Amino acid sequence: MTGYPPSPPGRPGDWPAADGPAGRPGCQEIRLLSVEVALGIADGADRATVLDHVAGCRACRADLRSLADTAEAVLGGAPRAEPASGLEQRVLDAIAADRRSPSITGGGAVGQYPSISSAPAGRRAARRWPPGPNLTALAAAIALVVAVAAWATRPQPAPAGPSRPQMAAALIGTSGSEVGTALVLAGRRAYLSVEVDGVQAGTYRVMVDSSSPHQVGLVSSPSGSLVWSRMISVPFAAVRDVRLVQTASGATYTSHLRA
Amino acid sequence: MAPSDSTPADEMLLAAVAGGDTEAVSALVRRHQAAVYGVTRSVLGEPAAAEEAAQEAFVRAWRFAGSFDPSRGRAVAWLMTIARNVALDLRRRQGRSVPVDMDVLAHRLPPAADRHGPESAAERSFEAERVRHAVGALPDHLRRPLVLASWHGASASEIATIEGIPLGTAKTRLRAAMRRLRDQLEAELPA
Repeated sequence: MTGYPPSPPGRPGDWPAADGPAGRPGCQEIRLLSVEVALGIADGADRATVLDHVAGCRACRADLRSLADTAEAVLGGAPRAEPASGLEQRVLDAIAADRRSPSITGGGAVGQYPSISSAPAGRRAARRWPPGPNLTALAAAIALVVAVAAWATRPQPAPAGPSRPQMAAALIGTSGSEVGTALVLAGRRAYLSVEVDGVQAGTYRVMVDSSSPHQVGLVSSPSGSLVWSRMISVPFAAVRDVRLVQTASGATYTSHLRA
Repeated sequence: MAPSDSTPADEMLLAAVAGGDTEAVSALVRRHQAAVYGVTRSVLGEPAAAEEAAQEAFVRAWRFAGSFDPSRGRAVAWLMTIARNVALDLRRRQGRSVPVDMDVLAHRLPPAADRHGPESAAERSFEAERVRHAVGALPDHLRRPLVLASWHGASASEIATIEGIPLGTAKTRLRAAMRRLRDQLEAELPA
């Protein structure tokens, strides 16, 4: 779950003005509308009004960001329900139909990420995608306002921009055994995700090699498997290798992402 | 951003989906179908329409997985937002009204059951239950507007009509509910 940032500085008592200049809505009205924007129930005009206002009002921007985090949490608590059996297959069928359409460039159409299914057969048989945790509240940047705008826009709920550059490669031990995958996504900050199974239990340094080695994380795996994800300070374009180095033994697993 | 044992992160799964891995698509559906269908069912009410919307939500997730930016929020939140928006679009096209779940509105919040996994499902359920507990603890006049808005996708004017209150009151109650919930969730976080 996303962290809940400190309450924004603006409270009802210190709202700057009930009315904005020249008939434009003031902070008080904006903050009522911001709730609807965050909850995804504002109409297009109200959403535009809020986004226009928060672009120039730091207090209301912080308020909207806080509301968006709360709205995300509330939606995450919506009642679960089991669909009728066969949803998975229907989704796969629909995707297959989309892929046959020449106008659709869906998942996998772009990007450097090699299919997990392209892993060696033995490895592929061993690795499944089990149901997993909702990991990681990822660092929320101030550009969350943009995310709110994108996510709260009903007709286009997901941004339809080009696929993000990404690269992934197997993590290989010194014996040549494949133990997992390292994935790097481009973005305002690069995002690294590492998945490992079947290594020695212990603590590992997560290293990213660019022109020099950088330790970007320290992770403990009591069972010999782990998933670790984090924004990293090394630029996407500079990432060359990702290594897991066991602190106790020095055992190293390397993913060569760029030749 | 806690590391976790044994299961791939949603973000990694989405990256694999973006890479065209149908096995990852299957895993994404299995992992989140109860949450996604739960959202579409809450918005639409009718099971067949909710299933149609859930299916479309996963297809859109596949279509746009490459543009998902993990720095802007969690993958599951992104997925649930897509589901909610798909369902709202369908409801609008079909001219349906807001389905009001009296059990939910009356504070009998059903459990966030998740039968799709071992420890990770428990982790997800813990988060969902924490939020549901906080929502359930809100006073009735604040909980109802919030549930109608977030889980049923009701607009402020629809809330005003359903609750029989002025529009301005609906708006102020929504804000009050959000602030109180935020404070409660903040207070529960470990120092």
